[in-house]
Amino acid sequence: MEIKVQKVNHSYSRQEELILEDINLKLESNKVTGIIGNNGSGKSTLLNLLACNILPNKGKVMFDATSYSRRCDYETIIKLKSNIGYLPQIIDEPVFTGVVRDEIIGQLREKNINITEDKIIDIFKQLGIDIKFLDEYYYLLSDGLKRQIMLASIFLNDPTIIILDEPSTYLDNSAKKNLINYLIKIKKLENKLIILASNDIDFINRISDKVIILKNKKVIKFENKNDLFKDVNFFVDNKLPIPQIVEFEFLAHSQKGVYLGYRDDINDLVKDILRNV
Amino acid sequence: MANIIEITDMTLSHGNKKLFENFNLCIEEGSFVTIMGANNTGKSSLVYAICGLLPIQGTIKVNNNLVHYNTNLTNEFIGYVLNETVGVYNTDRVIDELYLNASSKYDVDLIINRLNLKLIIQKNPHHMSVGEQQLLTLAIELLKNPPILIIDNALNMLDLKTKEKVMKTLNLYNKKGMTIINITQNSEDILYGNQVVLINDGQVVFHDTLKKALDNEKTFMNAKIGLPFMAELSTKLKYYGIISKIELNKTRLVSMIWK
Repeated sequence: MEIKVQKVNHSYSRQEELILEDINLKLESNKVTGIIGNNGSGKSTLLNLLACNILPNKGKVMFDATSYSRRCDYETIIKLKSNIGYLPQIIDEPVFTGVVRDEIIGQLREKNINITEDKIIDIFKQLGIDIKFLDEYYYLLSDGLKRQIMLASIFLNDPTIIILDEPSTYLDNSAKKNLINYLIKIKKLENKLIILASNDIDFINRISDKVIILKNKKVIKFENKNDLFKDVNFFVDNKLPIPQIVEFEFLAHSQKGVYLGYRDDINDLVKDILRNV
Repeated sequence: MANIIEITDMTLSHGNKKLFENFNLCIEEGSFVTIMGANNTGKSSLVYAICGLLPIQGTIKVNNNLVHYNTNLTNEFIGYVLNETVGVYNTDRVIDELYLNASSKYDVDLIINRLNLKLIIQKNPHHMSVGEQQLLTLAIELLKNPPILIIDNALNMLDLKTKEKVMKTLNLYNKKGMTIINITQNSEDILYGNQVVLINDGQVVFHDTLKKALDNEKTFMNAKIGLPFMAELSTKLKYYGIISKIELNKTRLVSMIWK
C-alpha cells in the first residue's frame, strides 16, 4: 500500500486561516511513520485527512490508484475507510452500555467480521489488558483502559492502514511498553502502513522508522528517524523537543568526545555507556 | 502546615467494584503534589469523590469543610482542569473567553504573558487543537485563582515547549500559596512538583518528597510506574557503580561519568 498526499490544503472554513498548506508526502507499508509538531501545527488534521474523516479543501490523497478528494463519491469513501483503522485523540463517548466482550464482537459484526473469543483474548494478552475486563461494563473503565480496548478493536479489524492520534497518552508504563512491542511486531509481519502523531518525543524515537515534522502549516522535514535526530542543532533552532536519549548521546560526544551509538532504548544506552567508561 | 484536603477512612465503589477501602490521604496546604498510579487504579474516581460527585463511606474535608455528596459547596475552593471541562467554552474567541473569566484587563494581560497565549488569542476556541484547548482551560482556572487546583490528566496533549512554560507558571502560583494536585501518567511530571503520591491497589503506597521518590525505584516498579528518564538512567548507572547518586541534569551526569 502506498499513500500519496498531493498538494493538500485544509482549513475549518474559507474565512479561517489554513491549518495545512501545500502538503506533499509519500507513505509506504512496513514502516511506522511518526508525526511531530507543536500544538496547533496540524497533526490531528493531517491524520483525519489520511483517515478519510474529512475532505481536503484542495488537493488529493492517492491510496494506491484510488483518489480521495472533494470529488470523491460516497461508495469510494466507504470502501477506503473499511481498510483504515483510526484512533482519535480524545476518548469520544459513544453510548456503550454493554460489557467489553459484547461491544467488541458487536462492533466487528457490524463490519461483517466474525471474531472468535480466542482472537480477542490473544490481542488482550499482547497489549497487556487483563482478560477479566471482558466481563466488565465498558463505561465504568478508566480512560487508560478504554484507550487500550479501542486499540485492541482496531487491531482486531486487521486494517491495512493504521492511523493513531496520540496512542501512548493515557497509557501507563506497562501498557505503553506492550503497545510499542505490538506495533514493532505487526509492522514487520503484516505489511501494514502505520502512521501516528505524538507529543511524546521519546515514544516517537522508540517506534518510528520515518518522521514527519509539521511547522507553520507545512512539512519541514520528512526523513528517516536516525538521520533526522543526528541533526540536533536543527531541533534546537526550531525549538522542537529532542528525545532524551539523543540529547544525552549528543552531550557525551560534544562535551567529552565519547561516541555512543544512536539508540532508542535506555537499556542499550546503559550498555553503550558501560562499554565506554 | 495545615491539611487543605483530608480524606479519612474512605471506601468508594464504582459500579460493583470496590476501588478504595479505608483509604487515607492528606494534602498539605501550599504543596504541589503529583499523583500517579497504573491504569484503572481509581485516580479519576478520587477526583469525583473530592468534588462530591460520588457517594462514599468515610469523610472528605476540603479547607476544613465537609464534602457532601451531590452538593458542590466545597467546589468554590477548587479549580478543575479535567478532560470533561476541556473544550467547553462560552464564546467564539479565546480573548473573549479570557475576559469572561477575569476581573480586570490587567489579569488578562498577565495570564497571556505567563502562558504565552499571544498566538492563540484571536482563534475560535472550538476550532483549536486539543493541546491548545487544554492550555486555554488551564488559563481560565488560573484567572479564577482558586486556593486548590486539581488537574486530572488534562495537560497530556501539550507540546514540550508549552508544557515547560505551563509547569513554570504552576510553580509560580504554587509559590504564592496555591495548592496544586497534578494527576498524570507522565513520569517526567513529578520533577515539577515537590511531593509525590503513588496509588496502587486502592492504597497510597508512597507519599513523600520528590527527592525521596527519585531514590525509590523499587516502589515505583511495584506500582508499575516508570521513573523520569534521568532518574531511571542514574539508578541503572548507580547499580553498576558508575556514579554514586541520582543526577537529573544531563550535562552534569556526562561530567560525572567521564571525569
